[in-house]
Amino acid sequence: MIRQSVLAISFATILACSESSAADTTAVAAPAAPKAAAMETPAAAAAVAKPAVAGRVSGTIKFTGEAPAAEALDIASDPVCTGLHPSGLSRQLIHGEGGGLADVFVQLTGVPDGKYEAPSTPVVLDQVGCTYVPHVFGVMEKQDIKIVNSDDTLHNIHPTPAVNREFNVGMPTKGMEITKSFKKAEDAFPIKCDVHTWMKAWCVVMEHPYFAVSDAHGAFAIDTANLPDGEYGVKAWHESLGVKEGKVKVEGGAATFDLTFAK
Amino acid sequence: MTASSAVSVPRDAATAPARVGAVVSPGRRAFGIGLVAATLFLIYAGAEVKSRDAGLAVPDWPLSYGKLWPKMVGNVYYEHGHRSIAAPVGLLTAILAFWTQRTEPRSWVRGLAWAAFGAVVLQGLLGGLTVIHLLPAPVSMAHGTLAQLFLCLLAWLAYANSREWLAPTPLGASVAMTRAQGRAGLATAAVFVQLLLGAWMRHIEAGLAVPFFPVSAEGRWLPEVVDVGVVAHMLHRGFAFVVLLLVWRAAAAGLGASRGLRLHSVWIAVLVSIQVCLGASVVWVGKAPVVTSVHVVSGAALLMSCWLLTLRCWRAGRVPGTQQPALSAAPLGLEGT
Repeated sequence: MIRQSVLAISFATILACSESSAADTTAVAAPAAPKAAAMETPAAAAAVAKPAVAGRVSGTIKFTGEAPAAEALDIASDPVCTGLHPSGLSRQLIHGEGGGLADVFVQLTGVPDGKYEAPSTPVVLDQVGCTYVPHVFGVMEKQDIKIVNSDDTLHNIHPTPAVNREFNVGMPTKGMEITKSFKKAEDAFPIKCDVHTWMKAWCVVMEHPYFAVSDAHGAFAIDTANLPDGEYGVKAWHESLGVKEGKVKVEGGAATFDLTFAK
Repeated sequence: MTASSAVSVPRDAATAPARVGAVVSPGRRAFGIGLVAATLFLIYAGAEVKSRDAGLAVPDWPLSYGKLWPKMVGNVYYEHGHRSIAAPVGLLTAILAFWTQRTEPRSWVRGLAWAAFGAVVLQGLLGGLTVIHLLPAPVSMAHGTLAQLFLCLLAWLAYANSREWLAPTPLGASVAMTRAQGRAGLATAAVFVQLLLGAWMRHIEAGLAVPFFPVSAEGRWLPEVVDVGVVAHMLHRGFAFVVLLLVWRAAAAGLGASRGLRLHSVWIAVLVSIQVCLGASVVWVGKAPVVTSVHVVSGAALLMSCWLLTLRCWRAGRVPGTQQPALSAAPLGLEGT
């Protein structure tokens, strides 16, 4: 009763002070379309795994349990975004097809120390449909990341790493591209757009190239070029389910590895 | 712009009452009060930026995405909106400083006007610095704190140009008035300390470090893990009750000191009560932006109100030849301020 009275006093004050601002909080996006979750899925994260393919550690990341309902996102603050998603946009962090779990970052651990050259081809991070594609990605130290704005609205790109240098760059026009890189290996950190607060991607910076991100079916494939045969650790990270680890024995450059997250 | 003469009083009534007089400038006074109102709105807009995590929605400064007026989409609306209100407030403060310089005979009032101008320039620089350096907590805290000191400076400036300040017998000095002045001053200091604690808590993202109020569903007063966020949060929460008591005490002293302070005293007592309710509500509604921002601007209004009460009591004790008993019959109220 006391709590209700205090809340009533507070809200009465707020209404008296700020009618226009109060209206902002009432804006709710329309229910999300089923395809919305797919918008947050990497378009081409990893090839479909096939057991014991030479030159690959491959497998499937699965999920058992009940995934939380998709969260409807309020995108009403930008007409361009609402125009791109007339039936709404939602976020489903735990998603995948056929029992697979998408957007899991999988890496081998305990690989030989040494200097691994970063690929000369950049990783592309696209701001498209007022979402990031891919949603989760890995990049090697000093490897270029080409950041693209494919939307006809302005975005800012703002990674918040703990080890590497944080930056915040405005990308106000469609087709704009910038190239950035991170110097030091770092576990997953978020990249966000402060204009559209629902936009979030995750980046992992690696010392070596033995990593992949699970696709829509939960499949992943790590290229094992130049990796000696032997037993290695496997570390899988999901943004809401956390980390799971295991071991894999690589023979002839190939191995299979399946892992299941539960909730 | 010529100062109109409603009341003519000594040049510097606070220190040299016998010298050539200053006069109330109704136009400048109205301008000053309008600037106080605009600054309160600016503080609300600034609070919205933080409440909606929009501080970095515009990465560049002083331009916004290289323009004077970018597309007002998403959180750009709040960040650029804040800048768009701040710029006119800065300009109006400059106008007030020049206006005061030209028409005000009291040097300390002219100094006050230029101090306000300096504060608003520094405030703008802090706002730019915090954006460019990605919101370092100390800079953001300084930005939030200086905003409220700037508000108090403007309020003082407007009050110094009021009939009550300039009139020879405004409220009546008395022992009770002196006591009210001390208590109002203490309340002002407490509100300021609370403001610092709030800024600290807010800029280390500890607004919900203790996500229940007053106790958890299990009856606990504190979360299981106590970290710096919980400490900041609990200091702000605990000190709120100290502020509540001190402001109520100042209000009671103000009520007993003069009829002219009655409305002001009741106002601060009500405002501090609302402010505590808002603080609790911020936790209950999970830091909903509008509630949180109103809590911030209400705190600023409370600081300004306590500061003005202190000034009014102090002023009453400084006017010569007005030694009167408490509760003077002089029918002077807030309309004279």
